[in-house]
Amino acid sequence: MNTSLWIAIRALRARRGALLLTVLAVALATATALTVPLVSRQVERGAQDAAQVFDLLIAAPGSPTQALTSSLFYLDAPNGNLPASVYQDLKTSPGTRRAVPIGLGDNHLGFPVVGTSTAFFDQRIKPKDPPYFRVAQGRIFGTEHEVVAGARAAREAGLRLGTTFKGAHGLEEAEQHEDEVEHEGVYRVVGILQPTGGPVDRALLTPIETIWEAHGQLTPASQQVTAVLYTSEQLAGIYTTVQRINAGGKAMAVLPGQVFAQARDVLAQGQAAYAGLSLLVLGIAALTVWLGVHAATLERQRTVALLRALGAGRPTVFGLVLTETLLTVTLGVLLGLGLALLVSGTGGQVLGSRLGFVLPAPQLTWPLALRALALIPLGLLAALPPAIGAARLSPLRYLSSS
Amino acid sequence: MSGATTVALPPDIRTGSALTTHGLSFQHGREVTLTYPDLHLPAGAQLTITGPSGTGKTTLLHLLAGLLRPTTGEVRFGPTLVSAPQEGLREAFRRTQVGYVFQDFHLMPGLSALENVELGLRVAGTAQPHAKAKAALERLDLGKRLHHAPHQLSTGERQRVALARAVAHSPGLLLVDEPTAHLDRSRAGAALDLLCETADQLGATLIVVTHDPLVAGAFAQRIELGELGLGDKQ
Ligand SMILES: Nc1ncnc2c1ncn2[C@@H]1O[C@H](COP(=O)(O)OP(=O)(O)OP(=O)(O)O)[C@@H](O)[C@H]1O
Ligand SMILES: [Mg+2]
Repeated sequence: MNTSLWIAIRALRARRGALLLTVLAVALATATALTVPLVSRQVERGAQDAAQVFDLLIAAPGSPTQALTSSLFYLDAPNGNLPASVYQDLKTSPGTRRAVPIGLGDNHLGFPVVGTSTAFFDQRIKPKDPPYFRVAQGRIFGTEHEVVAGARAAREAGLRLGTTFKGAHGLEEAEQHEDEVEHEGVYRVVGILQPTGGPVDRALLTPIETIWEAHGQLTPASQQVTAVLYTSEQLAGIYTTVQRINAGGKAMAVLPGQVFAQARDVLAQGQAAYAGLSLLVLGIAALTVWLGVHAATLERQRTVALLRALGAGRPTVFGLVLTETLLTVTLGVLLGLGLALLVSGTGGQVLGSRLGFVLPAPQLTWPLALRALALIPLGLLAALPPAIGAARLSPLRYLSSS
Repeated sequence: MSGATTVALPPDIRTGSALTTHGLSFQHGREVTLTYPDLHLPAGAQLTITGPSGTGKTTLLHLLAGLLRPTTGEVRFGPTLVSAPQEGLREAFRRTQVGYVFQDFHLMPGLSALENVELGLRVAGTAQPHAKAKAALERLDLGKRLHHAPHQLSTGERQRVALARAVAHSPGLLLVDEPTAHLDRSRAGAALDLLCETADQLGATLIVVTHDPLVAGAFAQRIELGELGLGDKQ
């Protein structure tokens, strides 16, 4: 082992109390600077994954974000409903690859009952990909009142093939219509989906006709859908559809990508403020490193003088000071990176289960890591003057006794 | 000093070189100029330097170790010009040829006895520093104190650790400053015997600075600074 490194390790061990404080300060600053960007990236990626299987969301006019959070993530009340004719039009219009109706309104033990069509199971990320939602047990629903349960809904509500249950009004448990909390209709589980990590894991999928029947929408004119997931044959078809729908005034077409981009912009503003704050925290950590380096000056000078007296060259003692700092800061930064990944990993899981989709594991990107790694050259810069001082120190400084 | 030739350290010469000084003086600041008698010591000689406080004994050791460069004159150890201007040369000399037992030992407080000795060996660039450090301490009867920190050792033990560090790399020149300053009479005698024996085993030239008459009396060869007017302050 290199002599400087060997001594640096032991010198640090000798002042492990101070070392621990510096390392902790660096680690906490690093974790503070990285956790929020990590988590918000996880949310972004998780949300995007869930919206990849269709091009366009058509919902009642209102807030595009609310349309997404309600029809896609089942987290919010819908803006309102659309006449089923909008869905029928889209389904039959040329250039449509797929139009999937979504009808919300009921729940079972808090898991949303989602009325849809068999086209739901035909959704795929790319035309040539296999279907995105696949049945793990049983089969796709055929007739009304049959249910295909999402993996998480099945697991947590204890649903198995053949299980029957009664739906309750509302997206969440216990809401509105005090007089008629449960419907006549009984649902029967005929299939259970493979987990996807997305919001559909929480859904109980049933033919939309079941919903219409349950809500007494028996004539075509009275039938309603919450939203339509639209996929076109060609890219150009998306934009003509957007224009056509939005011009009609009855419905609103939302490009999920656009909403995510907007959401990201909002997040980015918050993050800019946060980045400023974390820069401050990193600055304080750098200061702590600097203080640590300088607090050890006297002790280090004795060591350095002794080493020089024993015949160690100036580069060796110069390297010693830099190595000590390098070790301290690197230890802190690595600990901080680990801490940030740990916190955003577990925080992401908690957040994901609230949001209804699995957040991907936190991903450390280089630009993000560099924010923390910048502490290393900063620390070395702080150590440079004492290192030069060490190289210039006379070996006799502390050796001539009294 | 002028016209001094650069002599690279021959790697094979570890012990057994003659020490000579010529016209040596050293100026501390403006006021103090120390002048020294010429020394001609054959390989393996044992010498004590005595004299009242402030006559320049420690300074002489620093000059002999290459820690200081003389204002005039030169120091040679075998083929090496110790007083050479090249710092790198003097560092290499200190690393490989000098064993120095400082008056206050100067052990590193955060390191164990073993690590203190290993440190010296690492600086000297010796192979297998750990094993050799252990062996050096065991030879000085410190086998049971290897992992004690300096503050956990008695003064005599600390001194032996310092001696172990000074001799572990088999230097040719062993310089010892006031070896008995911190010891009582009976310990002082034992410490002195140990020094002389160790130097003998190494074949190293031993120079002991002391103002303790008991120590001085134990050496056949003796130089007295001050009294002889050789270490005059001017
Ligand atoms: N760094 C220095 N600057 C100026 N003068 C110094 C310095 N170091 C030593 N001196 C002076 O040089 C003289 C010799 O000092 P030195 O330490 O060599 O004496 P010594 O014989 O070892 O004394 P002691 O027996 O007390 O250890 C003293 O008068 C001292 O004051
Ligand atoms: Mg002295």
